Amino acid sequence: MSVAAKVNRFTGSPALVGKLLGLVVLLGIPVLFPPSDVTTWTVYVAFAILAVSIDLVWGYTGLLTLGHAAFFGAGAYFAAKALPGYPGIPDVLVLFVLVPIFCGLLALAIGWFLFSANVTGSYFAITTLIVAIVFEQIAGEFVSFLGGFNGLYNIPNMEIVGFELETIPLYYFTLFLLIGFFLLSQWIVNSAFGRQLRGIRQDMERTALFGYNTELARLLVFTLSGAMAGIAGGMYATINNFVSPPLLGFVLSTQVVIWVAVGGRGTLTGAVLGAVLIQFLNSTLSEVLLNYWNIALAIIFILVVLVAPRGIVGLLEDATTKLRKRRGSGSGLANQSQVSGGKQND
Amino acid sequence: MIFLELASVVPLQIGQRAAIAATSISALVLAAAGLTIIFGLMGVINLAHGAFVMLGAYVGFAVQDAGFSPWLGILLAPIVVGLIGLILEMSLVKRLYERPLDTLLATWGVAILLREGVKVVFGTSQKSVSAPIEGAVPIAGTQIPVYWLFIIGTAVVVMAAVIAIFKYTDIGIMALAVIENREMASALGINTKVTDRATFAFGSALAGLSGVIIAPRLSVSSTMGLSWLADSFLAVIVGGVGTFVGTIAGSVLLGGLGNVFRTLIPDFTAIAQALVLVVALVVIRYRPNGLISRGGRE
Amino acid sequence: MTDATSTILETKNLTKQFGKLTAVDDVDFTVEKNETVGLIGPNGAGKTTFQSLITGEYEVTDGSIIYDGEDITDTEPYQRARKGIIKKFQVTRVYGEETLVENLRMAIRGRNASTLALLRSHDDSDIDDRIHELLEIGNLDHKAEALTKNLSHGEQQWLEILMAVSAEPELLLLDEPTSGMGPQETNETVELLENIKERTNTTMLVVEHDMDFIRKVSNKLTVLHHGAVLAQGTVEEVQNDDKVEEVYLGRD
Repeated sequence: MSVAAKVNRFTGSPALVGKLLGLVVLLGIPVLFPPSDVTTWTVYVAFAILAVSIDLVWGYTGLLTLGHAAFFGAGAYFAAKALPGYPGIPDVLVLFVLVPIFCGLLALAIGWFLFSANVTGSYFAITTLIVAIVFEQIAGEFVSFLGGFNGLYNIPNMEIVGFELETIPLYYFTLFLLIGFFLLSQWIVNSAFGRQLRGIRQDMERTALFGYNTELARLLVFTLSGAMAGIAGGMYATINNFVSPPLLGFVLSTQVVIWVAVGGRGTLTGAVLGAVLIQFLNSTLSEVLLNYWNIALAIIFILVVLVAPRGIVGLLEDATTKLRKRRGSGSGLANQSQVSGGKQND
Repeated sequence: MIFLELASVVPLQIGQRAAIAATSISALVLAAAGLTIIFGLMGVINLAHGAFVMLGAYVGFAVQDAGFSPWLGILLAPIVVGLIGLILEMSLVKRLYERPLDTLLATWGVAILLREGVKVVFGTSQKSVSAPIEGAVPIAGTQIPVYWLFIIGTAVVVMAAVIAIFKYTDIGIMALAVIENREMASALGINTKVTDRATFAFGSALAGLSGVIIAPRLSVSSTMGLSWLADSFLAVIVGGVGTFVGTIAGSVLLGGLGNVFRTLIPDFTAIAQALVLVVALVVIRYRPNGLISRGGRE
Repeated sequence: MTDATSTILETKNLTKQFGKLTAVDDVDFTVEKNETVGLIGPNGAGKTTFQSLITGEYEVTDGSIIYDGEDITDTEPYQRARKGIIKKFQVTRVYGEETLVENLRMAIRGRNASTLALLRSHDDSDIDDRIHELLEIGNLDHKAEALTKNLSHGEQQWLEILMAVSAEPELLLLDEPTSGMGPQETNETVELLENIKERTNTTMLVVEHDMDFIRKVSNKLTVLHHGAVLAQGTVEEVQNDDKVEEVYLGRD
């Protein structure tokens, strides 16, 4: 196959190209930005993991969860208490075994409470919202144990085999976590189980009537998502060295939902794109512009909900499909294979 | 949340406790009245409801800031917010009647828009609004601010009026007809689009009215609507989605429970609130139609 | 009296009430294996409700449902589907945003895979041949990769039937399979069902209004009226039944 054909085949799959491009950019952040900004980017990446966890539950399974920060914050607080408090336990154990178990159990409990009564749709959204409100209030209330409104300070950096992770190594560690969760999520949604999730989103009752245990599926994906969000929260605690009640609340929860929506729900890539891009713009724009930026973002969000449910990723996909159709018919090459993005012939 | 703001931890006599409870319940009833119409009756999950309450409060502030009487604010707030609600219905809500989750999201976007817009126009500092009536009266051994009685009275009058409108007036009966059986109402010649518009605007106006009336008791800020949003939804859902009596019951339950919990565990007011929310969650899970259901609704 | 083991479905005193409305009234009903039973009756007679009780979409108010010797009255809908009870809806409920092939994959994978197996299943080559065969039978293979929302009404109905069949049901419930179809499409549906009967051992319970269609596909008929059984028997017996004639006076 000639080089041109190889390039053609490669660019024939715009989704793959987009993902790789994004990956390259993220890998190059410490090169593009000064060390003082790298920690900020590490936070963006941690929140991107939260966004992916929400996309699994909402974008794929159709369960609008407006309180997912409850699991993120729970992980953050758990890490904040466990890391300095029990120096004998290795950090890796805390962050990657205990935190996900804790947050997964929380998600399992809440999920079971709601799914066993078939609470779905808008009632599910409202109840998850309430859960986040409750969590934030509890954290704000327990001053001695959870730091109250002031939160918990001086959370130590994460240590792996004696090596303390911060700035650049911490960034890459978190990034690889994101990549790992992204690949795991892809594996799940591309399986027959993922098909079941799509079925649940589109017509849950019909899917159950084909023999799928939809309650179990929802429980599973919600628990997994809660554990994932918790790990992201635990990482946040070590990145930021400080946690406070808003990390559990509905403002953060709804913010991330907006990131996922604008980026493109149900695509995984959209979740990462929306999270990173919007956080970046949020902190880059000056104070003066910030108000107008928030207004603009709100308008974009409303438009996405109204007319562009697949968000930026969806718009990019549509645009590239149109471009390739035009290119195909204009140049007289075999249109069919170009449009389907598969094998190319010279 | 309102329960926290309106009560204090200092031990008080029963009389004042009762007055506080009655006022906070009335405030919630007022705030939730509009949502009962929009969410309870029309089934529209309007997350901009809290922002409407906030806007009403800001209208009250703006009127006073410009030197006019607070009464003018009370008159203007429902009109202004009603108009905004009308615009919202015509541009957004009407496209999303069949898509409840999208309505939820889109109205949340509008809420953010309104909050940010208010920050641009009024700045971010908290404002205060003075009550149109000053002074206190002795009742049951304690001094009760007259304005509290005004709030309670307004809640009673407004609820009675709203119930009467939907039960006895032509407009109200038509609106209910459209909500219950759209096709039939349309076949009978009722213009369902106009009715939807009017009903939504009415609910919005009520929210604005509650904002301006409650404002003197709280600090007015762009985020004040958030707690009213949550409380209103809870009152409507717990009480009984779609009935005014239900909303009153829900407000009494939530307001009363809040006070009870706070009396039992006075050092943990946030836990008290959390408990109220947990009770609400349990009610939603076991009786999704609320405590007093509107017979026949899905 | 037929041998009990050849009965695949039996209902005893099956009753469903919605508040004060009795939709299904004390129905005793049996279906033998490999039969095709037609369920007919005027509008509102309770036919669709009856089927929904069998699938588990509705909960029983009173009575019991015995499937292949097992009482399934309290089982979940997904469990009944796994046992082999599969329904084809009257108003099509295909997955509009998915392709025809994806729809069939969804239907096939439902019954026999545990959650763990579903997670591990990333390759559909084992079922894709069967899928294309089925689509061929329904004359839809040329549209295999199209989105189902772009199909015509009749094509969607056939896809629904194919989806139900692809799940390899033991008891196939069809709810008005020819609704909205003209005479030619109706005949094609008859052929489709006969094709299915030849290739599999499926028992069918068909709810229909089209008497012509029902006569062609059924061995037995049951007539429901106001939720209760009016008449049961072979097609001839039912057609000559006085009560049935009365109810259907003026009808085909």
